[in-house]
Amino acid sequence: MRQADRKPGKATETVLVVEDEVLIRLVIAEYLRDCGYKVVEAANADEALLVLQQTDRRVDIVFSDIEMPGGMDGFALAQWVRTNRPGVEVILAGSVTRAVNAASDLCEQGSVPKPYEPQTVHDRIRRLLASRGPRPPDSRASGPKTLCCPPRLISSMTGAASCFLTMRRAAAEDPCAFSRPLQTFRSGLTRRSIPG
Amino acid sequence: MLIRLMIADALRAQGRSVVEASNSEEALIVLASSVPVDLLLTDIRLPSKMDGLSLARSARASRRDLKLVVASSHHAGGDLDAVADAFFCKPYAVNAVVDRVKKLLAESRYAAGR
Repeated sequence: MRQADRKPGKATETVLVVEDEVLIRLVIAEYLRDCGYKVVEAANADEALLVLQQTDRRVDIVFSDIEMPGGMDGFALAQWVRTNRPGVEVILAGSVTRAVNAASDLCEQGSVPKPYEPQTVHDRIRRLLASRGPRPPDSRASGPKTLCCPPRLISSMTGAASCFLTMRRAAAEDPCAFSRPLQTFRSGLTRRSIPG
Repeated sequence: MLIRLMIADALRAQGRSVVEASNSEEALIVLASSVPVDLLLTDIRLPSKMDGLSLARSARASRRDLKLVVASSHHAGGDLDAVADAFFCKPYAVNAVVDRVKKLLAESRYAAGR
């Protein structure tokens, strides 16, 4: 890991790392701690829920593996977070093909394909926290965060464009995965409301 | 799990590097890896096939220099005193565990320096 790439995060920003493979979890958790984040570790979605259900415990970002043992995978966890902790951002990590099928609905920044470089995760976290703006963290009053744009505004929205580009790259590798997520992405956008 | 977080946070606040394992299987993976571990702190009741006492025995068999701290709601008897360097009966004060860990690690450094 290059020291020069590690820019310290704010001491109060908390990342919940959800990963069932302990050696992967400890590497990314320690890296993010070295970057200045407070990190809470969960070995699966059940443990993550125990943490997230503590409403007095600050969590800014959930970084979760997609495929995990137990009754809940990363997608279901992300959906739970979106419903119950709407101010908490989610980044999913998994195989590109599976991730793009659902990540567009759940994560504005798409997903992080595995295997990943810790620096990539840090960069994604920094971008998410920077794009969050002055909105107070984990604000229940703000409501669920959605892509909220009609198709013609895709190119002007960083999050949606990033997600779309992730899907296009995935399609280049696996053409069979492309048509379904694109259709879902487009239809999902037309259903969503335009922000005021 | 929440107790694990509490203990880990308290130890990190003391400047310790802490590796968290959610069950015996994870602990064994870490112990078998190149991750340096000086002390194992485990509950006896764990969400895994192997309980904490068996984990402690296994760790002791492969790492004689490893310090072992075991926590439980009751003293397991048997060879617990022979296996563990310290035992805490639950509920325990987190500060007491942190202090004991500090002393045990200091003993390890002293012994290593001889």
